[in-house]
Amino acid sequence: MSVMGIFNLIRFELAICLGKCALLFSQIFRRGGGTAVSGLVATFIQPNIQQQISKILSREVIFVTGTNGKTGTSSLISQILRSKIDFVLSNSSGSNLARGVVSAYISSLGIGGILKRRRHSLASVFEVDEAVIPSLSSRMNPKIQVFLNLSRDQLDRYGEIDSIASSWVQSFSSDSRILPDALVVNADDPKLFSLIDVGRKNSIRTITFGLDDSSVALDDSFNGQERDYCACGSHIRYELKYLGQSGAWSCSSCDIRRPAPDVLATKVVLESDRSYVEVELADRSEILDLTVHQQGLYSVYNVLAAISAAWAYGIHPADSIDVIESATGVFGRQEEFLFANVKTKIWLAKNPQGLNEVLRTLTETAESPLNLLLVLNDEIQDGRDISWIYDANFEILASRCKFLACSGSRAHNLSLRCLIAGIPVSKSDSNIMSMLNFALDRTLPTETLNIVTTYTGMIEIREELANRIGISPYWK
Amino acid sequence: MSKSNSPLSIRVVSLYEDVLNIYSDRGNRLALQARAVELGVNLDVHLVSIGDRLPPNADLVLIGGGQDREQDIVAADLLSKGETLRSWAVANVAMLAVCGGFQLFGRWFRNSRGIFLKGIDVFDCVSVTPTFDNLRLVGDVISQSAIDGLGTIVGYENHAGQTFLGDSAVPFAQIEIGYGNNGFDRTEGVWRNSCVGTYLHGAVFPNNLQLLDWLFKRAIEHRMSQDGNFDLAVLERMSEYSKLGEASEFARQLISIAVREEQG
Ligand SMILES: [Zn+2]
Repeated sequence: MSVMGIFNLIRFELAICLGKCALLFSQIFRRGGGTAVSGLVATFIQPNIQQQISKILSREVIFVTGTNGKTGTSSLISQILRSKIDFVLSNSSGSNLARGVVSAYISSLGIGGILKRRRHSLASVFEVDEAVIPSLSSRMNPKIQVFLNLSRDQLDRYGEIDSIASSWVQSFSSDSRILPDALVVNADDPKLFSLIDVGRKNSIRTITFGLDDSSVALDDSFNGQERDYCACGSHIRYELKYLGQSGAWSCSSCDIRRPAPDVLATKVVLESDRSYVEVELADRSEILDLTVHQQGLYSVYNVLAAISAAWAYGIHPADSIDVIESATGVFGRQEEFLFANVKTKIWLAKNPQGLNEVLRTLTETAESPLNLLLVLNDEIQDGRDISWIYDANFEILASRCKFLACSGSRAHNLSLRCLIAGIPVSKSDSNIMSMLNFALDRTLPTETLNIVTTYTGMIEIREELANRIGISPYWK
Repeated sequence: MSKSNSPLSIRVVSLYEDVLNIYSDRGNRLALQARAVELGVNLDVHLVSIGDRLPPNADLVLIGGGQDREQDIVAADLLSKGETLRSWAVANVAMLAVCGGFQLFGRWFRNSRGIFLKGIDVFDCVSVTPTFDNLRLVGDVISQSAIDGLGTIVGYENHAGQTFLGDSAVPFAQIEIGYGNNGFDRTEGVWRNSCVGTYLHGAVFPNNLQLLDWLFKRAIEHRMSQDGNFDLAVLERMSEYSKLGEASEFARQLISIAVREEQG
């Protein structure tokens, strides 16, 4: 080993050790729930740390990205992999920037973990922010990349979504060395078609997933808010639209259309606490029936993505079913808390497509009028620009609520939005705790209080509910 | 939506809503519809997009912003509607043009790839996107409107193009906090007759109901002058207590306080 090599190694170990110290320190003093600071410290000491971690992980790395469903899908993939592999690393706390990957690695190490880490069969599943994919891919060269969907989210941070899609494609086109072994892509989202194209042109194994069931398609009131365009310049037409911009699409002038998905849900039944899905595989090896213990179509797409990713990793879909069927809710996403006989369910929604799907799921599967608390914060993690609430379809809540309360730092914008939608607001106050109590007081035993919130509101409410029933307020 | 007992029906043309809607400017139409319900005014809303024809007349026109690609596509179609829209602007039809729509309502626009798009000359202004860097003018805006009685206008701006007003143009507002038209001259938007161009999203109508009312009043007056039928009761109702007005003013005040605090 060269002098430079030894120097780099020492610097790496030092970065990991100090990162670990920072993590322990933040846990002892309970600052920020834990992990982000360790990645920050380690990256500061060794800027190349991601490459070195990637080497240790010997490229057994899966990246999951997209606007909605990153956390849920990553969690499912990790759970499937854990049934086959000793040790699966993931950044499931939702810290999905470049530092989060480092943090996840550091927090996975026990005190003696610096030695332990080389001994086991090892894989890692990282959810990665849309904007970070190009730079992190070139540094970590993951084996499998999973692309879920792409829609408007936090424009203040990202600029325009077209530029994100092209940055993904460009990052693959500009450097063939960083091409993954396999791509997993949602065939129903036309914004992702260029990735399927890149995969095929470079002879990369490309597994696509999608939906074929008109019974869960959106009706016209949800349709046509935002047009999509083909690379040829003409607009995209939809025979059926399932959610956001995902559906059975084709170009209005050239012959590009939704490719036949390799993992295809041919039948979906959505219920108030679960979904039934029939999945057909392109190799016609099998038709799978499975029950997903999560509500809504996003969960179905997440499951299809997870099955496909595991397949790309070498685990046949039939071997994923048991894990999928027993998978539990993810931190703050459709997570349920039960106390005093009142069920509280938290839904995370931070962009119009996500919120529309939550509202649709709530209104379509509710058996009685909804007890609803909406929370809108505008911290950086939520997105500072809250104007997207005017792209969301609050109108479908009309006459569906027993009560509707608004809270969060932008409660006033939220209640104005509801008023414009013609929906009476029972009460609105920026203080989340007082509105949580208000909503709990009005929810009768055996009823459910549904809380739909942006990210930081979810953290605050989850911590409070967890404290009340005595479970850990933090992830893991 | 329709009220058969109301003789007054205002025709609204909302342009390219399915194309230019990435910044939620659809909220302007939704707020207008909610306000019309409050006032008991019937709205006859025409969603006009690419390839569609404009109706023979209108009282109020709305257009929002979009991404570069969408703007290219819209620009070509908008030219075919330019003459009609220009004549409407002269005839005191009310208009709200936001962001990308505002740029295309000017003389010309140079986009981020250096390509010139011809505008429709409703406003005397030109817009240029710097091609040498990725600078975007993004953030909260507080401004003071040049239109009498409108006062503080709040919003959120997010644009790469910079707009410069011609000699004959009057800015819609003066920037207190934020960038405005170009980040240099502290102007925000443009005002001509009953037409307002602005960079403000949020959407701008919900958070500034006084602007909505000002344009709505112009639209109602336009309709009455066309019909020769003056029903002043509707205009009087505008100054009465309104639930929407109250919620909007409350939101506007809290936004102003939060933004001013953040700016120190
Ligand atoms: Zn095409």
